[in-house]
Amino acid sequence: MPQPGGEMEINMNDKKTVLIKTDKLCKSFVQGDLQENILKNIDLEIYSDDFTVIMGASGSGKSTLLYMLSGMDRPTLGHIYFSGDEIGRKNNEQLAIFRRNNCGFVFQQSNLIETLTVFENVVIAGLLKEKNIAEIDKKSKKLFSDVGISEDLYKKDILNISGGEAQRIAIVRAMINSPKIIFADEPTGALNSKSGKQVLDLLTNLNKDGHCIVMVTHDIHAALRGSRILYIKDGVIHGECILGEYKEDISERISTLEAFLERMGW
Amino acid sequence: MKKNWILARSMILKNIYSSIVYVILSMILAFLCNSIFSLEDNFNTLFSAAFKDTNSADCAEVIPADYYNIKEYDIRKMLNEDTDVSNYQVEDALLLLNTQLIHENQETQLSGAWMIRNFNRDTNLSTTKILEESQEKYEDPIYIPFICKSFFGFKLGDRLAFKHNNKTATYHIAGFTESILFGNRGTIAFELPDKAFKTMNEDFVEKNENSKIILIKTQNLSIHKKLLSLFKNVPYLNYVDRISAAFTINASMKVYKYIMIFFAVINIIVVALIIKYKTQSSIINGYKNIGILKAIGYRSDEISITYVIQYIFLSSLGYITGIILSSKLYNSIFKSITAETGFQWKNNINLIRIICFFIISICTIAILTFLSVIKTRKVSPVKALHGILDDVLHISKISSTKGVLYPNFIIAWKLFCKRKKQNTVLIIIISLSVLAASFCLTLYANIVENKKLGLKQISGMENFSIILQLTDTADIEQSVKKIKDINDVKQVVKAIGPGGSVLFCDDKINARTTVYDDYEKIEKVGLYKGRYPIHENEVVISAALSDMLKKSEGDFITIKNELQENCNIGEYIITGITQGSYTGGIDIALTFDGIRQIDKNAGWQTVYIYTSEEKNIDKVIEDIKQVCGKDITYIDNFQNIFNKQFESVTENISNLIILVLLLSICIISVIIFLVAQTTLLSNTYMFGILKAIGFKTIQIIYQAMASMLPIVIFGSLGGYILSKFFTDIIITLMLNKMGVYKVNFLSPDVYISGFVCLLCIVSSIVSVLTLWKLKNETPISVIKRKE
Repeated sequence: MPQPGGEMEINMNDKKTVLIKTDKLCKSFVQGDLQENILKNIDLEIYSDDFTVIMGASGSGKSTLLYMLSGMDRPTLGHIYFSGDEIGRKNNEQLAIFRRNNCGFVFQQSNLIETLTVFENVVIAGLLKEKNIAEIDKKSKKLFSDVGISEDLYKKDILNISGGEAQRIAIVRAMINSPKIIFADEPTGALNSKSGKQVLDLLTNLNKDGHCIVMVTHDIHAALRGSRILYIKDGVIHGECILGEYKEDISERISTLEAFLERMGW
Repeated sequence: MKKNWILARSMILKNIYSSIVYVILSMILAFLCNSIFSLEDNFNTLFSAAFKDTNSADCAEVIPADYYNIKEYDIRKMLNEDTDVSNYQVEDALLLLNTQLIHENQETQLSGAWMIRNFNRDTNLSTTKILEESQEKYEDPIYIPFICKSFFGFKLGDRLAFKHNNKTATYHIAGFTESILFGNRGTIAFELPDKAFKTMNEDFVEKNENSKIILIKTQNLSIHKKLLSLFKNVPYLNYVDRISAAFTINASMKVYKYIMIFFAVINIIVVALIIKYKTQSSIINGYKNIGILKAIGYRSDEISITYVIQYIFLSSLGYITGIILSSKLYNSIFKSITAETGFQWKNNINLIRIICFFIISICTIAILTFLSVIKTRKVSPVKALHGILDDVLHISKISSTKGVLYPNFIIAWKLFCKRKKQNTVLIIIISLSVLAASFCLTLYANIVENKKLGLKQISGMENFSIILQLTDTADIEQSVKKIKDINDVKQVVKAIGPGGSVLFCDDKINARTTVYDDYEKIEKVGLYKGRYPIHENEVVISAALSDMLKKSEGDFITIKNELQENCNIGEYIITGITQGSYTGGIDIALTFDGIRQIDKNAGWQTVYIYTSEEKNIDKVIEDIKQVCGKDITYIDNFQNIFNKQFESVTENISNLIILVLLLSICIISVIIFLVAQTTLLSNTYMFGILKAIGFKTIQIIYQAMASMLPIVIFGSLGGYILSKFFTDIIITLMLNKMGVYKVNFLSPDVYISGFVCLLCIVSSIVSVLTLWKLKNETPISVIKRKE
């Protein structure tokens, strides 16, 4: 929900399932004598079949918000609920288990482990929930096929594949345990436009298949894929824009988004 | 566990060279430990087996047969009435006195009691166990203890001749036997078949050389003391028991075990350091991966287990290889040590011991590794993904500096100071390694290179040139006078012993006795406090005896000859303390008048000669033979006897030195490699900036290398200083039980300095090679590696 002083464009959220809810979420960092408040009293809800995009200027706190929502970090104050379960007070080990059971991650740098092969990068994630390698093998092959990774790449070292391929493999790793939500932090930031489009198409298709996506980006073209845009400024949700389901004809989406961002001071 | 293995395997392959180094160190540790265990276990097993197989007596008394016949009733009565004695038997034997043993036409004098037993005797205590037997049947067979093969190199079929009183009896070695009491370097007994035994008895030996061996099975060895009360005026008495036999057999082995234990301990410390520093560098290097794993849902303990599995795998590989190598190479490496035992050494593998070692080591490694990586608990996935490691791993920044000194030196010094705690530990390790190397180099200089320097001190033996024994009828004074006139004869000394008759001190302990006609003639090698006796009421005792009696210089002791009926008891003042292993450590030295007070029969037994130069010894021997002729029963080059006694010692030490020096260099190279790697990882960003601002790569490498050299230099200095203080102390401690209380070994400063220089060179090479990867990197790539 937008903060006082912000704007709410359209409210179409009434009948959706809330997957994540925050209540006066705050995050501060202390460095020496200085305290920096990154997030300030954020109240928001993430819905289960939305493609939520978080936008904002550099240093606005969008990545920090992503890390809070995904259980990668803990809030300084406030609460975060995931399917009704408060995650903000869990310890590190509990958060690790929470992440393995519920979340998939796609980072700006693919963050694949260089010393493992393509297949092994997926297997080490799959083995967190499934003990049977044959099952993981079967599932990963389907996912590789869905993202367009051929079998001859399976045994290749990570250093011998392109950035686009690496990011798609990261998506497979994110999907292997059938997460409830996928978090993407600038997933196209290090890719060329062609590879970036491929990745966005994948994320869009995943959302169409019913997966919840939360993506942080400063790229308008990436943001267009979102069904819901949250704009964060100076640690608060400054505005929200509902774009709805993604369609091929994006002309209306572009104008809606551009107008929204202009109002937000982008 | 599968996921952990996948990750562990990838980490091992990524750091393949350091993994290999770790495996090698684990292998060395397992090799050392298995060897130590094997020596211990096998000795105990072989000793017990030999004891059981031969139904060995617990002790044995060898006395003249005539004497026994007179005292038989009393002896048997005493033994029958003693409740600790479970069995005893008496067998005939021959004790050859003043006899030369000639092996295959070479003259060899073996020290110890010379006994001949009847191979076909009909006793069942200390029976004959044949270990090897010739296929060929000889008409004149003799069976000898296995130690003659393992230590002296005799072979089946070799001829062995006894030259005694101008008679020679020759035999062929038909077999090697095993015996606890009569088959070690202290006491050797040969065995002749019944017919040959009787022939030797009738035709070869003097009447007094017919002996009886009283073999006794007893719980309590104090029976010997009781029997002594019956052995008055006995012409000779030889006593041996299972404890002294075990000590004699095991003496050298213990020294090598202690040295191996020392290195095993150093190895363990280095392995622990490797785990600590390699895991730290692995965490730094793989920090981002830790963040990724945590982000996708790995718990900290799951990440820690990956490291644990890595080191368990590498350690297991090393241990298994080390144990197998030890089992395979054991016989060749420890051949000369095990040869001294007189056992037909079998390296039986004690599986239980190996399994225990394995389990304990692996558990220790697992715990050490887990503790080393426990800091990954604090790693936040967010910070790790962004490469922020400072607040978790406490990597301090180099402080800014002002100064006019060269920047290379400043940076090198700052890099050195950054690692204060680490440097302290490493300097200690290097000091210990250099101490070990210096210790071995000192042994080499004093025992191998210049045998006399060190061995004289350890043995306490005087450095005579020639040993001469004359017949009982010879006029010793005349002979000495003639010998003095020979060219190149520097000094002639009459002696009883060393280690001659046995006298009883303070009613507590028997000690071997030495007497020289004039102690000013000898070099006084064994004297370590005070002075030798001048007057008849003065005595010098060994340090071990001094400890036992709790007496020292200025104290009085009583001495008597227990074997003489109605003997006098003399009271003597202690004027000095000696030390040395030659007589087993318990001995006294008296003047001739002093010993005559308590032993009316004491007379000169041996003449020792000093020649002006060692090269003239053989010529002087020939000259002595000319002037003394038929009065001589035995003459030999004493230096040869001395050298032969310690041949195996010098050989073993030479082997040990090579091993120790190599190990020290390896250990220090590994340490420098680890430090170089950690330096590289911890200062990547700084190196990138230095490159960017214009430092050449070679300058940066030089700075890093120069920051490590102080560790080697300070460590070496520490090791050198420690060796100056501790080498003599360590040697004394190791050899204390053999009667050595003080040594003053020459410190081979040239060798040690050379070794330290070698270490510095090797360390520099290792550090440069490790840092060389910086050469091909651009400043940006180096800086970005940090990001």
